[in-house]
Amino acid sequence: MEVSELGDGRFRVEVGSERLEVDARLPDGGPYSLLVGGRVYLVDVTADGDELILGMGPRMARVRIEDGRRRAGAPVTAGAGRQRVVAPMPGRVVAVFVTAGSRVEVGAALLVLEAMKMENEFRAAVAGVVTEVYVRPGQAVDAGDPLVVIG
Amino acid sequence: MLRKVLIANRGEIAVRVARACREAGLVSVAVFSEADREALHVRLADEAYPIGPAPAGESYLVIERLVEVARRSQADAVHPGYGFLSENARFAQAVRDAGLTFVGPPVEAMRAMADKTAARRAAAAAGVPLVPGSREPLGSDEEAARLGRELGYPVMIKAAHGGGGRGMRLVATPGELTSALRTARSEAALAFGEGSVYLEKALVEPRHVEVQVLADRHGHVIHLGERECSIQRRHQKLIEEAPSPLGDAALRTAMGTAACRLVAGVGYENAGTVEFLVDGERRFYFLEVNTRLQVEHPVTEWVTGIDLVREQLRLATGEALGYGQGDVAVRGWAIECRISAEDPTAGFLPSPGRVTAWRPPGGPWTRVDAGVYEGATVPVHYDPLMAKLVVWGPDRPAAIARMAAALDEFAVAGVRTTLPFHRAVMRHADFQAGRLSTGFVARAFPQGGPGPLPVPPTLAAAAAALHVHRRAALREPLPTTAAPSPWAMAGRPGVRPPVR
Repeated sequence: MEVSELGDGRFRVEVGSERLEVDARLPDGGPYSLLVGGRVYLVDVTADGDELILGMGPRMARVRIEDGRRRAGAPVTAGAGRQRVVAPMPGRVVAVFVTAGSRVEVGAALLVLEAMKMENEFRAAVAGVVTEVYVRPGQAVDAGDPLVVIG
Repeated sequence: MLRKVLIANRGEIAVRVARACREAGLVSVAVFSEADREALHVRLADEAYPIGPAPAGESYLVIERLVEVARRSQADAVHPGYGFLSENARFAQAVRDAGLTFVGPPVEAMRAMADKTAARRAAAAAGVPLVPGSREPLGSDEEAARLGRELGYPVMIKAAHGGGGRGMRLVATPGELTSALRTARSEAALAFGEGSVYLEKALVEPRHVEVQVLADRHGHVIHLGERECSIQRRHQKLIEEAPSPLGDAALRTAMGTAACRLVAGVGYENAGTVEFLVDGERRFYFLEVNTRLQVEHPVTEWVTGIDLVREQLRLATGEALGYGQGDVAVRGWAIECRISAEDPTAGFLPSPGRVTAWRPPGGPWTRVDAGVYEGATVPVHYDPLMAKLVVWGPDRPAAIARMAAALDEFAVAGVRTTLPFHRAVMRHADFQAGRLSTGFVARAFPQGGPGPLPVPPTLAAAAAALHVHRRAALREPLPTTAAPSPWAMAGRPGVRPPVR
């Protein structure tokens, strides 16, 4: 993961093989205001040991820091070049878009999980080949159940 | 005429009362334990006095100390808030014995209603339907077992001297009765200093509907409509609304009339709430009377336009109500969500700590009664309620949409909160359809409460990377600049350039 400053509060952030251009305001007291592709994200960052807790409105993520300088580790559930998607909460698989052997780009839709009457779409964070698909449409899953593995 | 009011409480209700005092031109006196010196209610009051160590039993519950501080500060009234000593007749008596005004009902009315079995007898005398059960506190376990057989299971064990869900146990079969009695008694003794319990038939998934009453010293008693408080967990309310989705005007009138008759019969004054259970056939049964202001009073304030704390202060001086039942109209719909420092994914375990981000929502008909601020600490010693988010809309769907939007805007970091739970409920089909009962939470979230939604992994990684980049940049020395400060150029006296 690499961060380059483009000036005027704009950054290029490389995550795996994906490149994001982010307009970022990063005040010390937080929250961070990020514009990515025109979309607005407000992020509260709290340190928790060697992990960061990111709060974005009703959403939350934990990210493990592997090198404290200019690099940050991938999300706890993903490894470099490899992504293991697990269910973050109990729900029901509504749709699965890939099979073992599918080649996916970063951002490709993998599956849709319905939980608490809401639909959540899971996308590939890495480019690669899907090696495992553990679920099929209609299947109920628990929090922590593996769904799809890439790479 | 009141001049100075001591607020014998803490947290958001102490802030609420301090604001009402300010509006009424009264001086507010806050009290604080050692854990609350920097609390919001202390910041907002006119005066503040320490009352002891952090544990409530050594501070907010010590009657003698509160009366002593009231005297020393020359307050002429005491507002007890809710919880703590608000329904303690001995406290009300001590305040009055000290020559001060207690903002609440007469001591005799408090005594009549505080003993829950005495309250049931008063309700029966007023012709108010009761949940079948004991009229006296239980004596022996044998007596309890016999009564249980008569009532038919399931039965509910309840504390005779307190509410809030403490000392309550649902008993499904006779075999569980003895051990349930033991734990209920000890819990009641811990919470209220008195372990007496009584028995009631447990209705199957009833709705909890309560009626707000107001009474003056001249015998005028009116009700301000009902509130539905069925969304509870372990008998602790989480979400309340006014009016009830039952939408039954005849039921509202019947319950309101019964509530007024009951409190009038015990010479009630000031604000109070009569709680009922409503079964599947829209029959209502008396539960108890709370001789104080309730947490969820804002929903009634929204739909009636009546400021309940203002009325409490006014009525405490002996002023007449000044309006009648025909002047009270319920308009639109209000919903309240209690935002607590609890983790819904961990059985609502309290999550005390420092609130590092606190950004409540704003906008039309959106009210936040908070007891914390950004940077404040939620202490471990007290109830983890941080704020109440209360919205109003012209009808129920509008209120739900407004609440859902407000919840999405509400950002809190540093502690776990019940926000994800409330967001999920607003989107739940049963809630939207008004299909409520006290079994709602167990049925909607059988595996426990929902947590926050996930963040797309790429975005999370990018945000984290930017954070790490920013922290690293801050450790590097900043470059100096030869350009003159724009503030100095503007020549404004008394304005110093920002420190770099």
